[in-house]
Amino acid sequence: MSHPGDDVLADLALGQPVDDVSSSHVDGCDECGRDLAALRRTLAAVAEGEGLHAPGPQVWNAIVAATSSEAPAAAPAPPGRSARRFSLGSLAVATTLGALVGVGAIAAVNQWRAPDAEVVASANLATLDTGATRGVAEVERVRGQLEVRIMVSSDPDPGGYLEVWLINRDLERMVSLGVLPQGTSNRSYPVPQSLLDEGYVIVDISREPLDDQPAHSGDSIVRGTLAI
Amino acid sequence: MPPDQDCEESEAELVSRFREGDPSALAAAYARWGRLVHSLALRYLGNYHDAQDVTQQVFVSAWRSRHTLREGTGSLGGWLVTIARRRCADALAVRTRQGRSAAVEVESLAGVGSAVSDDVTDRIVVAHALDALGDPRATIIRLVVIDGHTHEAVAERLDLPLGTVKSHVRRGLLQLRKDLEEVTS
Repeated sequence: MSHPGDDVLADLALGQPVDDVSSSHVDGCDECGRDLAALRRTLAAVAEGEGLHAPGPQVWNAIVAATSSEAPAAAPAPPGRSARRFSLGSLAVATTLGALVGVGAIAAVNQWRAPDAEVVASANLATLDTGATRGVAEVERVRGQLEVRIMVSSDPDPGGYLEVWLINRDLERMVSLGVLPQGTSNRSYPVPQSLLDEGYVIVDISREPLDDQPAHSGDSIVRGTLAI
Repeated sequence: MPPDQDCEESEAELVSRFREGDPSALAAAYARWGRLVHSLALRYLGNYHDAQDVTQQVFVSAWRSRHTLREGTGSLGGWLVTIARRRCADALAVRTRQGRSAAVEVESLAGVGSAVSDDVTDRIVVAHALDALGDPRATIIRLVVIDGHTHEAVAERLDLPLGTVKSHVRRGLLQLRKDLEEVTS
């Protein structure tokens, strides 16, 4: 006879009754015997009920740091980072573009989202001194992957580059999501759920000098707290 | 089973993006398998500090050697698990050389192919896959397989038809077997 279906093999592995014909076939069939053994091995592993432990957020940080130190020619950009570092020359071009993309473009938030994106949380990005809203940050779920989307009016300023950060509620820990190229008023950065769960919910955009220092410059332009 | 097919397709797509060096693929791989890799490392190495180091190394080294990942073959999760086990064996070997007594661990380290580490890997991979099944399927399987309740008792407790419970257990078991084979074969 032909092999019984997977459901019958599953029932056999689970100790559920099956019909005699199937049962005697499996007894004499090597192929079914191997399938049954694999199902039993799976069941034995399930029955042990092993616990899982998520890594701390610093692990992802370290991965980003390690992969971002690679030369761009040897490897493409690490998560959330711009594919290349800005040179002064490219900034000059970016500034011109930046001047063209205005606040008005923020109204078109919908056109920037992926069509199947689900907005999980959002925050207005406001200046720290005057509280003026300069953009929006959203957490979107796109095909199961979380992304932080930044939509800001570009600020033509050749004095460095803009970098996007997630700051923890404890205001002590922070993670760099990557560069926000000037002239780009809409950009998304993939983030693991665990980061948000750990309390990294304050979106911050800083102005960074071109000094190869990876730490936050302390010069925050806008900030907003995601309501999660 | 359409959901399984979706899953396969998205992994194939992820593998392809990973190979091409799309940075979001590294983040997606970490979101999907970071917990699995870390849990394996923690189980092998016995402390959080070393487990976090290894977890980091696994993803960094996978990223750097992504061009060796063959298109259309194997699973990214399985590849990461293989790298993780190798890294754990390396970390245990270093400990031994440093004289940090680990006689028992060194026995099990015999490697990466020993029965002991295979069992541990199986259990963690399956626990991870079980979580990914989602509810009610994962809960039903836990109640039946881990807690040893009968299908009937589970049906009553969750107020579900008996046939539904049986079907969840069967489908779930078959999916877990597939996940386990993809990762450990």
